[in-house]
Amino acid sequence: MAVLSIEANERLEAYLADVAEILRGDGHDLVDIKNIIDSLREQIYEIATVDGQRPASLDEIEQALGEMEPPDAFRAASRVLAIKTKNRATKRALAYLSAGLSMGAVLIYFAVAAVYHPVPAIFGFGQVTALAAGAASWSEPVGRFGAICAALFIVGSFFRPG
Amino acid sequence: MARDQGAKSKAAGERTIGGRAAESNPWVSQMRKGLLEFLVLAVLRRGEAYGYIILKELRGFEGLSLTESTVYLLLARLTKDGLLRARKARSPEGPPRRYYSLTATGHRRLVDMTAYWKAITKSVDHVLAAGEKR
Repeated sequence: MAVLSIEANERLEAYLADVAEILRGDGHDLVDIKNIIDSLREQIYEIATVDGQRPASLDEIEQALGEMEPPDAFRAASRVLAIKTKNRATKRALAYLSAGLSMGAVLIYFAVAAVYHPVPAIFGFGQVTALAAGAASWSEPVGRFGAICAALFIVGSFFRPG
Repeated sequence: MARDQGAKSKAAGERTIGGRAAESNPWVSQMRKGLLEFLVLAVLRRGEAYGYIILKELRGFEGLSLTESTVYLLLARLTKDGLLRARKARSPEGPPRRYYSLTATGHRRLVDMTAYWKAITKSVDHVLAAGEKR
C-alpha cells in the first residue's frame, strides 16, 4: 500500500478537515461526513500515488489537491442537490436547552429539596425534556453533555436515600 | 495517468451554453439535478464500483460536469435512502476503498426511472419534431 510522507499527510488531512468542518456546519450527520471524507481520501491517494512503491511527496499531494474542488464547493453542492440536513441552529438551541435544563434543574433541585419533600414532579419532567433535547442534538458537544447529565440525574433519582 | 484524466475532465466541465458557463445557467442546474440520481444508479447497474471510478465515468460525459462534491454527497444520500449499499475493501494504492452497489430497492428505482426516462424523452422528441414542422 502506498504511504504519504509526513508533511504530505498533514496537508491532506488539513484539506479533509476543512471539508468535514463545512459538512458539519451544513448539518450533515457524522456517518455521511465520514463516508464523504473516506471517498475523498481514496481519490487523492489514487491521483497522488502514481508509483505506489514510494511515499507521495508534499508536491504530489499539492498537485492532487489542485485538481480537487475547494472545500466550499461541498456547501454549494448540498444546496444544488437540496440535501435535507438538520438545521444547525436548531440543533444548537436544543443542545443548550438540554444543558441548561439539566444544570438548572440540578441546582434548583437541591435548593427545593432542602425545603420540600418530596421534590415536585416538575423536576423529573425537566430532566426528561433535557434528556430528549440532548439526544436530539447528540452531534453537538453541549447536547451530549446535557443528555448525559440528565440521564445521570434520572438514574440517580431512583437511588435517592429515603 | 489518473492525474491526466482528472485535468481533462476538469477542462471538459468548463462548457458554455448560450454564451454563459453551463454552471451559471439556472435551468441547466435544474435539469441536471433531476438526472444525477438516475445516472449514479445507472453506472452501478453493471456492478459495484468505488466513488472515484463512478466520478471518472460520469464526468467524462459532455454537459454533466460532475464533480466530487456532487457525486460523493449523492452517494452518501442514496446509501442512507437504502438505494445503495457500501462495503469496504483493501486497496493496493492507499486506504480501504468503499465499494457501492445497488440494493433491491435501488434496482427497482433504476427500472422505474429508466422506463420514465424513455417515455419522457419520446414525448419531448415528439414535441420538438412537431415544433420543427411548423
